[in-house]
Amino acid sequence: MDDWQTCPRCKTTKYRNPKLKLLVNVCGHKLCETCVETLFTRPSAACPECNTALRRNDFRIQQFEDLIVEKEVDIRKRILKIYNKLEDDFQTASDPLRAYNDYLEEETKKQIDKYKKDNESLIRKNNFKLQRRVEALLLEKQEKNDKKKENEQFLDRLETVAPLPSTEGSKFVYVAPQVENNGPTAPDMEVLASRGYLRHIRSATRAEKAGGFSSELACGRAIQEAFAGLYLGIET
Amino acid sequence: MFHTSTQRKYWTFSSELELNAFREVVNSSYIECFRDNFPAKKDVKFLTVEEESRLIEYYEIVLMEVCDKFRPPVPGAVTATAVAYLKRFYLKTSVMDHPPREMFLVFLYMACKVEEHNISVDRFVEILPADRREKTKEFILAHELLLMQRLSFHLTVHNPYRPMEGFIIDIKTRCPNLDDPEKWRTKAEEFLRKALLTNVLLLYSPSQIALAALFNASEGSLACYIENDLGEHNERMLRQINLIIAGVSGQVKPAVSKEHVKSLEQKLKGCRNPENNPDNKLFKKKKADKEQPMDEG
Repeated sequence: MDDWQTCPRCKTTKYRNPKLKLLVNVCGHKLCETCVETLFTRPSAACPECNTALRRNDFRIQQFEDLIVEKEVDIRKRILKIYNKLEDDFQTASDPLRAYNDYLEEETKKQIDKYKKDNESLIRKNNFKLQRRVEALLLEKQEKNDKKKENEQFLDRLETVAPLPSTEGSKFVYVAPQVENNGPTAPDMEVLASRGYLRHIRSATRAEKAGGFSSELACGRAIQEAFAGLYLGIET
Repeated sequence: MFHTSTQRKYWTFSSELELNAFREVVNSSYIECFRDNFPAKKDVKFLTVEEESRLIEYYEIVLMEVCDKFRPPVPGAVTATAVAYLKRFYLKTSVMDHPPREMFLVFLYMACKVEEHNISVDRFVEILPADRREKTKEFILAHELLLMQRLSFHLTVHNPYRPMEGFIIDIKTRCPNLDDPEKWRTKAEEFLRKALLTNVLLLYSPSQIALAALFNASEGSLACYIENDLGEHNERMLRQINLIIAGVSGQVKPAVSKEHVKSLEQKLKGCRNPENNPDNKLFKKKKADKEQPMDEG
């Protein structure tokens, strides 16, 4: 089951409860609606995962599968609330749309630059770390691919030895079984009544008929057994 | 269908000679086995093939008499199947290995099961005197599997009774001018009963035996039915039927006398397989941890 469809507190899944609604708070941890209701009897409580103090009002329905995306969207929304100049505020500029876009970009840039300056050494260190991690991942991927190829090659070789049976073939044709009774041919069940055989036996009772044992069945079987093997040892 | 049955494939033989060859092999291989296993026992007098056959014949009669003792009586098919088991069993096993005196109730019990005549084992042993019931019950249950195994699990026996009904229906329908076949019924059933005591069951198909029974009872008036209504092999079929009739009525031996049986049983005591003798130490040792040994039955 997909991990994101499970409430971490009560372990209910979307599969077991199709009505399950997962909510997310600022810390990025999710909770299902029922759990929110039981935990947040007061307007604020701690997140059961990370103990951050949360407000009930901040819960939103989870929109993205990836919680990091979810969190980022959340942050962007918050920042937009602060940098809330509208397009109309740039009417005085020669190219209002351009100025507006510059404004949106500028603010972010400014911030990034500031951050960069503040944490230069740390960024370099982390970049190095990340690169190493990526290299390790690539190596691992390469190995996996090699193995897969090897397996495929092995299967290919197998196929040349014993080709899989093709599903294409002639269609099934029903051939009625030949009843060889080594004696005279017994009359068919259908003609027993018309030829008068049934006049000489006790007719089946209601209960027997209900069980599927018709008069024809009993009579036909007796005659079949009478004729079966009658020529045993006398045929040439 | 008899044609595809194990009875035709494995239990229908070509001649008396073939049957006798089987019996001789069984007899001699038992004697060989006995000498190998118990070299200390010398001067053992073994039963001959002929004596073995006498005992088998005697217990066929005993078996049929026991069948008549049941209340309500067991159907004819059960008796016939039990006798067929007895015949088949002793084609592959020596009388000295598993004496019929103990085994014959196992045949009957198994036949009741196979022919769907439901008698529980507790009710089954009620035909015996009260003191032998418990031990016989244990013996029967202990030997069921052995019996099935010796029969190669070919448990279905095609008896001549249903074919006979089939012929009666067919004669009534296609030859209304003939005598009423119902008149022959008693005599034909008597014939089938006698046939149980002969080797006919191991040599011919059940339908041939049934036809022979009716033919014999009709005193020849059935010949036109055979000639006109049963295909082109009628001449050879008549010959075959006469062989069966000869095999049943001509060959009837005088019943084995009680004294003769007693002396045979006495001789059997000396040469039977001690491992299968419920009274013997070897047998007791074999089953010591499992159950109490049984009386000689």
